[in-house]
Amino acid sequence: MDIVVCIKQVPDPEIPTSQFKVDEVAKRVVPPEGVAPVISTFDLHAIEAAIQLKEQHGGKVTVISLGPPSVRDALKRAIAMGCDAAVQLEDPAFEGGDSYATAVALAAAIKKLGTFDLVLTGRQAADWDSGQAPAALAELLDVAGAVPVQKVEVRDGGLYVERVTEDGYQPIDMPLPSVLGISNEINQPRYPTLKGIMASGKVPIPVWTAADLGLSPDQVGASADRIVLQRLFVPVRESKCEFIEADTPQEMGEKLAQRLREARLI
Amino acid sequence: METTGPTIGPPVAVALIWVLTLGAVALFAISARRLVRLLAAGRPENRLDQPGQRLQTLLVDVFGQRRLLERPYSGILHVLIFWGFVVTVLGSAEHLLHGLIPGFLDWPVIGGWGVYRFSQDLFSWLVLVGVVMAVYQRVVMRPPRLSLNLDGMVILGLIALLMVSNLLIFGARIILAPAAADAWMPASQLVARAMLGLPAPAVEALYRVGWWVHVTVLLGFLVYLPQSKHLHIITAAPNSYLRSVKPKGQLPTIDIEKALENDEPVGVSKIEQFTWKDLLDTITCTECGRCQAECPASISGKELSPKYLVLNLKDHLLHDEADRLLGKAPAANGATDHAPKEMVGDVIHDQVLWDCVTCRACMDACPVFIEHVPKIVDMRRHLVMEASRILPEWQKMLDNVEASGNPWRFPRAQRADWAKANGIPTLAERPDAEYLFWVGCAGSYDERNVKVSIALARLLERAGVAFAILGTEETCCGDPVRRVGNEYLFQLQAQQNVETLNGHQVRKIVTACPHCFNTVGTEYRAFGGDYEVVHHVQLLQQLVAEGRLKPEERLDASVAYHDPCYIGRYHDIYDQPREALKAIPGVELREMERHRERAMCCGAGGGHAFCEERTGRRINHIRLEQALDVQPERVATACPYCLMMFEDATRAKDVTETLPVADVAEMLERSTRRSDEL
Amino acid sequence: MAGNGVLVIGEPSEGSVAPATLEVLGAARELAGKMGGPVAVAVLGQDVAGQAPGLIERGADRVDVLSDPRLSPYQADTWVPALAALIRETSASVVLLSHTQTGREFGTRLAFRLGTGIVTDCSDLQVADNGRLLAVKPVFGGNAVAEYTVAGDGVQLASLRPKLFDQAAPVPGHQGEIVERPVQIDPSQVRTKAHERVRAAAAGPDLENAQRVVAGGRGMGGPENWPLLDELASAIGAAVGASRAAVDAGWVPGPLQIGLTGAKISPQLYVAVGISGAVQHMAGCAGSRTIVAINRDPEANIFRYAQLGVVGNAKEVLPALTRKARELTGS
Repeated sequence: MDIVVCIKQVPDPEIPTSQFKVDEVAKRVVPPEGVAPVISTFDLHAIEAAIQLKEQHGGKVTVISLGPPSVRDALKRAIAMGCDAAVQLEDPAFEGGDSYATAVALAAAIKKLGTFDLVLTGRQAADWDSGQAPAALAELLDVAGAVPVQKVEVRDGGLYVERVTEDGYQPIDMPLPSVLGISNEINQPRYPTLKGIMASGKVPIPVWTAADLGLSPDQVGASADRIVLQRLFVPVRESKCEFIEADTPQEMGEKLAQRLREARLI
Repeated sequence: METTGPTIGPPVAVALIWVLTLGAVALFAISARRLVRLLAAGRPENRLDQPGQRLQTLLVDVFGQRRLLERPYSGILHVLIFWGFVVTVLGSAEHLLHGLIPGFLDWPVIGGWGVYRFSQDLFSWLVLVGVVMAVYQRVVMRPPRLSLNLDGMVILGLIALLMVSNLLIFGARIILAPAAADAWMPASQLVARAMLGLPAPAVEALYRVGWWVHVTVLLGFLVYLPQSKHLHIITAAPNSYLRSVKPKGQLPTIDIEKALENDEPVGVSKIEQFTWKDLLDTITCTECGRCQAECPASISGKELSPKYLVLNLKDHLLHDEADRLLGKAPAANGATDHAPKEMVGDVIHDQVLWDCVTCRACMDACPVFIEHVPKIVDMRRHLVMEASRILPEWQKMLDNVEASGNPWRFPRAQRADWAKANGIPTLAERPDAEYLFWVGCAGSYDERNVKVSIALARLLERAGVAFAILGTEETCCGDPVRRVGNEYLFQLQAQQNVETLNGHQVRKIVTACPHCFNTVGTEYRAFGGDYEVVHHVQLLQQLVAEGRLKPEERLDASVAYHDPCYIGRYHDIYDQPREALKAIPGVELREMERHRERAMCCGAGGGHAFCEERTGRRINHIRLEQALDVQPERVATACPYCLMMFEDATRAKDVTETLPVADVAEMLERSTRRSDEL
Repeated sequence: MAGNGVLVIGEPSEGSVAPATLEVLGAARELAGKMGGPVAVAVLGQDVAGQAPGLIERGADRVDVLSDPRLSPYQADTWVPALAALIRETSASVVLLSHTQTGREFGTRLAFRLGTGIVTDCSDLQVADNGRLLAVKPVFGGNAVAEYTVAGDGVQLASLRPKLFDQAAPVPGHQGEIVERPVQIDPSQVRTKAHERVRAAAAGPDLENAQRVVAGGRGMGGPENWPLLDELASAIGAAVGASRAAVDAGWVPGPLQIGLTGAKISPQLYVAVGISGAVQHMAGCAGSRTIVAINRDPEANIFRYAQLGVVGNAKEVLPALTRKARELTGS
């Protein structure tokens, strides 16, 4: 099976809220000092799912990521876990791209790799949380897609897939090739073995630009955005705790309910 | 040498005895050779260094039976049987030679000594006393650590037979070949008296019965030995001599680069990847179960039993893998119808390896010096670095250390925030500091343990000790990473820390965490880090003794001190914390039943501070109960994990108010506060 | 290609209208009030015409009924082309749907099929100066807020965070039209075969993905009080978790544990009841957008992390809180 996994490197989602800062002018997040970016959580599950399928059915797993040189660490981690090859997409033209614009580049890269049986990616990225990549890839590659996926098995030359629903799951029979947006219920991503870590240093990772993909600058990056970011900000949050005052605990409870409703939290 | 006296039978009997003896020796030699070849399959290791220390172990623990006497009833019965064997084996040799060499009756010279004859007589029945005690223990007392099995009873039976037949032989000889030394053999005299009325041929018949029983059992034992746990009578002394004489807390360091270049394993997944000494350990196990009785995991109902860990490895070596290791093809008739077993996974379950808290209670209890913990870590190294099977919580912990330099993923940049807020200098601010205060991850980030760091800092200031911290340059010492099995990440952490420390030319280090103490103090040497590291209880006790710290504020309370494993069993630091506590006026020290060398682990070691116990009872709850048994008003300890575990347990049992838990530093700090600081 | 009005795409639902659809309808009406134009609702499935009157009662000006066995059970390969055709025909300016597990799949693909964009998981909808939609959504796990517009001037799609918007209130006497639409699906483009959804046995709360979590600790007093927590959770649509203390005490099973060695959660709302807020617990929930703490002890550590606090006994505060919450949210 030829499997492609698209991964994204994001600022560490586990940094404490108090450390989180935004540059409102540049409309981007300022990662705190000394905190390395990580592979987006759901993408780790996608890598694991791909490797498990390869272990069961043979084949090859190629991992692709679009981003600055730091994404090479993410790609190396994926190789250390067991992926066979990796490609980095880097080009100033890619900058400012939303999920769709990024997917254009990814889809072109997937086509450049040749035929594929399956494309896996995380159901959403742990930064912008938009969850559009799986659908964008499916549409651009003109294949079937499903998201979010909690189980995938190869059966009779096709796929048995379970989509997560609010109260359970939906079984779907899908063809090969397909694009799947992987959810965390599916597996437990493995810790890289020592051999894997050593090997990841030796696998060459080519860098492809827009030109390598046969794309012109207006086809990628901000020019290809389907949605436009107008503003990014950190909502002002009182760090002091507002205590609900009332005479009886019961009244406090009622007042709390009202405050939560006002704040649109319930 | 007597030339008259009883015989074992007609001349053909002598030929028979030669045949039997040679046959038994041959069978024994074949079994022994097989065992030696299997041991040789293990990796090489030098265990002949430091002969002085090794001899001491031989004298005190083997001949002196020190560890066995920790449990007095078992110890005494074993002393009787052990020394009985050592002494009566001379007599048994006499009997055998008597059969092999017609006319031989006694050893030349010593054979006629009264003292010698007395010793044979005495131990013949003393061993019987030992056997009776042993049977009683196995059948009536039934301690859970002992498995009641046929092997044990058979051996006791055979030993009893040897002794009874001894007495029969001696008794009959007193009648048939009286000698002057007979007066030194009271028990044999009694036997002889019972035979007085019998005609001589009858007595000789009894003699022969006794003799043949004795020699048959003796030769049978020889053949049986390699098949039973009684093999330990041969292997125990060598195994003890060849014990580890390295510092107790030091795990072996692997040259990872070299291992990968030569395609060698970095963990142990096959039996032959253990060293020959590891393999010798497995066949020396006497199944006494003392390790299991001391193991916190076993006590709290986990799957791990150190005893069965060792025995399962032994079975794996001697049965599952023996044919392969000896180069034999498997049975042609397909008798091996079971699939090949994975040592790590099938024979030793993953969970068994995860259960260990690395407290070393098993190793300290073992009378034959078997080393359980390094084997467990070796197999963990395989699971983590080669098989990629690891507890999810530990995977998170490893990722956290890699990403942020601490097991909880707090930001690196915040590591010294606690110090900044309290005016504690970094080395950059105070380059002339005498001591580097190695704070550790818990002391830096955990709110409760920051209080201990502050207390220690105040004490050092009060005593006029010039100290400083590394600040944000400090990163996790790597202890939990190494214990869990990720030797690769540990070495990265160690190299980084050694570089930092050496860059600052640090010589003396004080720390409040026993794990950091052990890792930085002993394990960093392998990475070029050689520092004089003390744990805070050592330094504090010294400062009090020197009068640089004056505990004057009273603490009128009974205090139970909990010995942290990583300074207690690992480094024999038991007295200093007690001295420090006793220096506080009003403190009444109360010892828990399991204290000092026998203290029970709080349950946080070996990575367990970072995962949940999912089966059985919680180890820290059991330890709290042990503390509550002596009804103290306070619990004192000297380790951040012990502190967290104890407080956790007091919360669970809702005794937080009646039993406060504190670090020794905190208690001392309170007591040394100058009146203007109160 | 400027369109007019707002089209709501209803959640797949057996029988009656899904609450999610009513939430989106409520938001659609509000938006249409600002932007102008009619509000329509599209219902897809096999036997869905019966949902139309109820929707009109709740303010829909038009209900587009797409009734076809191929649309049930739901699958993207049939819904997307059917909806694309509908939208091209009816030309709305804005298309809204709920960001459910289903909506997030077909809504996104639909936007790309139409050659336009979608803003997913929105918490608010506004109108920009040029009359276009300004969609507001939480990003970075809720640490920040982003405002997006859809590029170009074509139809704009947005999916709304479930349980955040008020359901559309009934409009007495409201009239609207019900239109049966032809369902246009090219069979050669249907590559998948979906089956009926399977309801999984209660496999424990999906703590890690829940947007609202209610958790109990030692302060709950005992397992007999736990139903108070369950009630609150059900009233506000929250998953139930616990601190280590409660799990250790055996009051609740292990999977509910939130903390350093338990579930890591980052919901929009985290209500910590009777939880002291030890750092190991906070390590599991510090990512929560808003923390509400209910604790007897005013010095409890949790209040240093919480935005809203009630100092009181859980047993007394919870019932009143639950009752009022139910009243206000109509659940």
